[in-house]
Amino acid sequence: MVNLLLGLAMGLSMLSAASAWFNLQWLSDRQILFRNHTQQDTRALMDTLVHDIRRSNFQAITPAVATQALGTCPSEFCGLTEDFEVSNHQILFSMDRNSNGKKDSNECSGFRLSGQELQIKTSCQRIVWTALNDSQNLQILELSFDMECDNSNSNQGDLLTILVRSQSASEKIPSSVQRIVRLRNHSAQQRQGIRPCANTLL
Amino acid sequence: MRKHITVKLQNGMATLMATTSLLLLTSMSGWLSFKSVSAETTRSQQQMFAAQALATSEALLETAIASIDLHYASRGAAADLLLWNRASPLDCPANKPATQWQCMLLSMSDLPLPVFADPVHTSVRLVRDVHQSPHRIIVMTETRLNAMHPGVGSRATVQQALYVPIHTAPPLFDPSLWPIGIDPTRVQRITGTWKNGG
Repeated sequence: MVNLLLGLAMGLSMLSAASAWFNLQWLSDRQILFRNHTQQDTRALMDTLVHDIRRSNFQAITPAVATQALGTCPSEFCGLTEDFEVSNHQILFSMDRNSNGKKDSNECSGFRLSGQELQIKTSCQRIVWTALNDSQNLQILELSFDMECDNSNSNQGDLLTILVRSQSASEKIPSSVQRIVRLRNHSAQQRQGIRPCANTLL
Repeated sequence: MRKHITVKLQNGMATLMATTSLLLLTSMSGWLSFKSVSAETTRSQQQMFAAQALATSEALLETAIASIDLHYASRGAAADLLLWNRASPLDCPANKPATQWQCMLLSMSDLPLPVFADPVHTSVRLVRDVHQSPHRIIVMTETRLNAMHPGVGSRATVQQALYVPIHTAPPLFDPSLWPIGIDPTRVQRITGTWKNGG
């Protein structure tokens, strides 16, 4: 009888310890997985933003481009709001993707936050915004842009700071990713007539 | 007595089996999350390798621009001829026919390569529309990471167009080819012509 009780007590204590260990591992793994997914998805989104924004206002060289004075718009890829505009939570730009010198309908782009979705603009004529994330899995809490103009002599291009704050829909732990992009196709000369930057790099 | 022993044995077996199952489940879930984290890490590494290949390509582009600037600044009126005497129609990319475009590969021996660039698969290509705008050249760099880098084989391309000073003295100099405000005696970047990828 004593042996039986002792065996039962030991068996049950082993069982409860294993259950507790299982529960702890399970919760820990879930947390790691969710955080990892959130970080990876946010980084992938940020890579998409950076890759596209760096190419903003690219225009292929055409004979008509060269001979105009500085500050005037030499192509179809500048001069309009849709060609480049930055506000705190939205950016619009255009680029000559196929290098033909003409602005096709799919050559306007941009990013904005709508609800908990990060959206990309995919069309010029009939403006279309397409979600880049599924808000049921990944929620974007904040998207912000901060432009810093480069007026130095080297004029390497303006700087744009992008901040994305996100969280998993299941684990409400927000995390932020920030990247700085140098806009190679933006110069002090081209900026004439466009809204000045909030900050200036001299 | 026999019955008592059977009951005791079954109790022990049930506990052992339940404990073993839980341990197996724990191990399996741990292994699955390890695999998942490994896959995410691999994806993250590949993104990083692509970014580093792009940075290497950009570094090479900047080196090439500095080298071209130095060449035109130091060789005077003969600079253009000296630079382009190595042009070959074979160096033209598929979308730039040699009948209109002049193309050449810049010698890698003249350029200090970035540490992780594979010299065999790295190139700097210069192209220009020799008929309509010989003073505007496009510099295209292509880089592949070498075996010293964990992301060996990652590839990136970058391009930038430049104004270069050719025929800066009359009567060959044609001011109508130059935008107002651009100095025709210096190598300068053309705004809006930087592009990565493609």
